[in-house]
Amino acid sequence: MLNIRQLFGKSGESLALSYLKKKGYRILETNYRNKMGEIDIIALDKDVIVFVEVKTRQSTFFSHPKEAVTVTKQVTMSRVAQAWLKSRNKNDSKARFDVVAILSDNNTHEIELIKNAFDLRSGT
Amino acid sequence: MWSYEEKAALSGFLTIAGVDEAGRGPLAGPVVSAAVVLPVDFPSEGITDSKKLSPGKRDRLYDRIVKKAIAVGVGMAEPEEIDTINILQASLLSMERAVHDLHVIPDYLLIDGIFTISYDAPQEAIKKGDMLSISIASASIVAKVTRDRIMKSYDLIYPDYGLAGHKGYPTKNHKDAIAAFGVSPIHRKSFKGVKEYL
Repeated sequence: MLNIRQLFGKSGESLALSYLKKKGYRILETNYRNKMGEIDIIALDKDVIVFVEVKTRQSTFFSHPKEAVTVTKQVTMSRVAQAWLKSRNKNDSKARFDVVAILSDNNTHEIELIKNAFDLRSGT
Repeated sequence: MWSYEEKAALSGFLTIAGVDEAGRGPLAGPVVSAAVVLPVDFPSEGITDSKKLSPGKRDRLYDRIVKKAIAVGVGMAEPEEIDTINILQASLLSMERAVHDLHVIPDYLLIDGIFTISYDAPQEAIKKGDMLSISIASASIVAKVTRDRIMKSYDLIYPDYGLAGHKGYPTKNHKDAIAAFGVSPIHRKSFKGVKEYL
């Protein structure tokens, strides 16, 4: 069973990086990983540290990409982000979560940036 | 177009992957390769090399391939890599990445062109393979459609060049746009047609 989403997923990161740079973000790190999970892109938007999730879809049949950040993923990203801030000694910095949603199929191509897509979540 | 696959199967190979690339000639964007493993009952009507198909037909065949193939892998090399190692090496690298991206492990590769790749499995390079082997033709369709969609997305970020139309190929309007607007971060700086404008 083929995961169609995956075929576009890899190039999604390059597209997202180009898009964010064009918007003036400064890229700090990509594919940051620790034992709790992973964050696609960590960047700086003026003085705010931004943790970015890249979502790609090849059709809107199931959902629009911007709807795809599950609560579980939000909790994971929150934990990983806090660990990153601590490791870089930036616990006092302003930070937020953005989503870059990329939709690409036969007829439509969209890239959307959702700033402050969700709030920090502490899971149970 | 099953003769190469049949011959490999008769030699005992079970997981045969066709590999092809798209986007060697453009002045901008990545080079994209695909690797495709097809089932023996794959409906092959209409499948031929991607260059001979209309965009609409190509999209429909792409949908059929990704739905019915045993496995599809995609790999790419970015413009920076193309500039560093040259387009031929980048093309081969993208093919290796496509093969590694498969979720099955192929035991035989059918590769379009004259070069084999750095991968630990028996392989055969077939000149004009995209016209002769159904697996390579399918890979050429996946590579082309994937790359076209990537370039249409880049058009949203760098709208001055007409990327959605020419996909980075050196058409007159692309060359005029480079002359007018300069180069973007996704142009291949080592290429003739780009390096003069750095």
